[in-house]
Amino acid sequence: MRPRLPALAALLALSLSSCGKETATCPADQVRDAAGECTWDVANLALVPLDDTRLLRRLSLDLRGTLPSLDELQRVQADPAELDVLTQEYLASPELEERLVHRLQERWHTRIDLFHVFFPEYPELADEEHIEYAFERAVGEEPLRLLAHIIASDRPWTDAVLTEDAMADEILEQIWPLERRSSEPGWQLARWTDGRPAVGVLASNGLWWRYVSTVTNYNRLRVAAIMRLLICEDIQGRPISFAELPALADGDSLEEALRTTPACMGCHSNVDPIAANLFGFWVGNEHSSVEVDRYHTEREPLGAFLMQVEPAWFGTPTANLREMAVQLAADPRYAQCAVESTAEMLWRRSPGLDDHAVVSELLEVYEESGSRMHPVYTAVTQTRRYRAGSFGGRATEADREREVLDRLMTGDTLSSALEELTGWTWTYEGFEQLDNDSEGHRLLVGTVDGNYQTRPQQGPSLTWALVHQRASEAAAAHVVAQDLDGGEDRRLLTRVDLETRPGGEAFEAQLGDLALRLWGLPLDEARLGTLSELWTAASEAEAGEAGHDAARAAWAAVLTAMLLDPDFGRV
Amino acid sequence: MTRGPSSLSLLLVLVAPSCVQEPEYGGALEAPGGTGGSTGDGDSAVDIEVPAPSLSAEEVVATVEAALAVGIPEAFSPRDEYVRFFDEHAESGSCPDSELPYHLPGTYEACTTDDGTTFFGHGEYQEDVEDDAVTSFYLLGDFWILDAQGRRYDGAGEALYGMRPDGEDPDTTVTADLIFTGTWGYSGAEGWLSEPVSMALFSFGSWTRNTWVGGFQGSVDLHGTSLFMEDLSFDGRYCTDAPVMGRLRLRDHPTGYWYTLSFPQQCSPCGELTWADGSSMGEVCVDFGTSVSDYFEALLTADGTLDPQGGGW
Repeated sequence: MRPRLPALAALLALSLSSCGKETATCPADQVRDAAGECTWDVANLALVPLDDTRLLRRLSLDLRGTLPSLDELQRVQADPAELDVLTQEYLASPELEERLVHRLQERWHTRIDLFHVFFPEYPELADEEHIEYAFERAVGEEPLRLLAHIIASDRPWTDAVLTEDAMADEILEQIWPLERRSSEPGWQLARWTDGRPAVGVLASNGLWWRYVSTVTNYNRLRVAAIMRLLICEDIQGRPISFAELPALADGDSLEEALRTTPACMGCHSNVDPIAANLFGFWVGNEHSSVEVDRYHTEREPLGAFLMQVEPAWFGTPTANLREMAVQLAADPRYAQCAVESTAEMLWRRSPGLDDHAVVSELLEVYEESGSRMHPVYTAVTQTRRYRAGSFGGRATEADREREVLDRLMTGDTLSSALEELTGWTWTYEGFEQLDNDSEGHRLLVGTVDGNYQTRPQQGPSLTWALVHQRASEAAAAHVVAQDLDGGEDRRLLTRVDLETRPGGEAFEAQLGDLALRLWGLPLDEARLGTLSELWTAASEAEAGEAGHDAARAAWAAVLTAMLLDPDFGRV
Repeated sequence: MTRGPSSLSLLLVLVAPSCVQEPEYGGALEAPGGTGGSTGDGDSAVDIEVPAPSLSAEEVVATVEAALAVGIPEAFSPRDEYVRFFDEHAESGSCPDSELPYHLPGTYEACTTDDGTTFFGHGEYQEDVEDDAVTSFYLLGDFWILDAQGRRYDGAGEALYGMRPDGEDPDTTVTADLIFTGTWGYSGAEGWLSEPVSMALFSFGSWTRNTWVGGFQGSVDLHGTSLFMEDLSFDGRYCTDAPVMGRLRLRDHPTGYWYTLSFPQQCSPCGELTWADGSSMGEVCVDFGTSVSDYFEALLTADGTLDPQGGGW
């Protein structure tokens, strides 16, 4: 039976007609307040969305690692529909790729500070000044750069395990069998020259340097990483009953038990055939650069011999790692995991049972887009979970336990945001101080290091506050010196000079700009008063000094206070 | 019939988002339930077509023979070079900075001797000597050494060699085995060691009735040719330089798949060559030259320092 067209047309007309009444009625979930403005119906919502400018701030920090510009904020103030426009601009921005490197680290954990191989093993690097940090980041970022590039350039996510592309900078090109496709400085697309298969991130040295397999582990730890990262199955989190195991006196009896003991087979019947695909990366000495730099083509068949299993992907036989990657990319869990991990990245929590419907819709977006991630990112940022800023009257206890509404600005975001805002960077002996723990404060400021901290810190801590304070003080002093001492290219203090004092129009306009830029909020009277008082007090504390020094100190105090404000430190 | 309602739903989905201020995914569908997803039980498996081989049968044979002519890696050459660097170039107790014999301490600083030899990394060598012959040794490598001419010796992995009298079989005087893994190469050397060779090779042999018997299991990349030996067995009593059984595999680098040459139990250098998809490429014959006999004679004589027939130990 064909649908009756007249009825459909009427329905369509009805739907369209409701659009035209948006000026008279508020959008869904909104009501008119006493002033006649549409506002969120807080009493009847579980999750109340952020204000538009705060939401833009969250989007910009998540997708670019920097705060929105004043112009962008004003565009959204003038027209909320600009939020969607700006989201697409952010997804197309060159900053996205860099930002994703840090966001992907929260899951992939490869940007660690120490690998089994240390830079002095390479004669070409051993005498370079300040090379340690650059070496560690080059190795750890190599897999993340590829993943970030695929997402940022909106290639199908299946490329993550199927492309022949790699990414390399000048350091990696010197020491690994990599050939960059461009001689431009920095990270460039590259290709491996040692015969390793086209398996995207699975061909990455950086990934397998992070997830090391010992000689007798036979790549099993790497399988656990593949399962966790690419099909979202945490096999290492499964309980093991040692009571059911026979005595494991030596390696041979252990291997026998893994193949024959039911308590072991539950996992190892899947793990071991996958591990058998990875023997091109199996090495005779995991500490030797000569061994771990290269893919060993001749060792590919060793897995079947050493582990006495045929290579496979969950029961489907595979002839080599490339075939395994093809089966992995076609596994429905791969798509599901891509969507769930993106949601987790942006929601700042793992999707759970209550998210089933949303995740299913996101999965549809993924599939309909041909596995491209920009539509998924767009869709996730449109979920209420992402946009929520507070709990409403219908929030349940479960909602309050589950949702993360105040997202802490951890080290990488703080670093990139402050640099873009003020031009200030914090380095020592070549080490980014908010991005390492060999010489810096990465863990103290709540950032995922990949070893000790595997999820971003959710709430502020004493060490976070201390590092944030030092960074804020230094960044404020930097921008004051830069902006008030005749610099042409002012960054933040654009409306004032050393003669400006509280109470004047320029002073208030400047604070208004700063509030919008730093907090994504208009400046209210209370805060204007507090900041003006602070400016005056700080100025008076320097009163014995020349007037200009007092003004500098006052602006530094005000900026520091604004950077330490919770509205700056939360995303 | 359900086509009508489905079309209707689709139409509504298309129309509705244009009316709301912010499209919201899942806003009205927060029903409890599992996150779903496949169990990965193989129902999504993809049929993969194996590409055509890039070499003909004749080219496969030529490639294998050229690789074997390089020599099958024994551990005596890298051992000898390692020991020689210490005996001839090391400065006792200072470079390398270790009081132990033949020991590289594994610090992250290279040292250079007065004669221009640079040592870096971690290396260990231990041996057992009987009748002035080294009958077992252990060489551990995570090092590089630069000689005064700038030629580099890489040792990465380990070699574990043992030779012993056989007390069980009256026809067998000695047995020996070697586990040799990693990447070894010295550009100042000759033969297989002259370029880095990557391997994970297990070999065993015995001196039986005045000749050798032995076999290989494992991988070796001989100067760019990747081979895998699978139960590849030889018996010098009956057929010198031809396997009595086993399989020899060659990697086809352009495709990443493998050729397999299967030797039946006929003591013949000929066997069926098959491609990765199981298709036969015909019968081929491989000339092993003296690579195998050279290898086992070295293995069973402690590199020519012991006479396995001489008795006495």
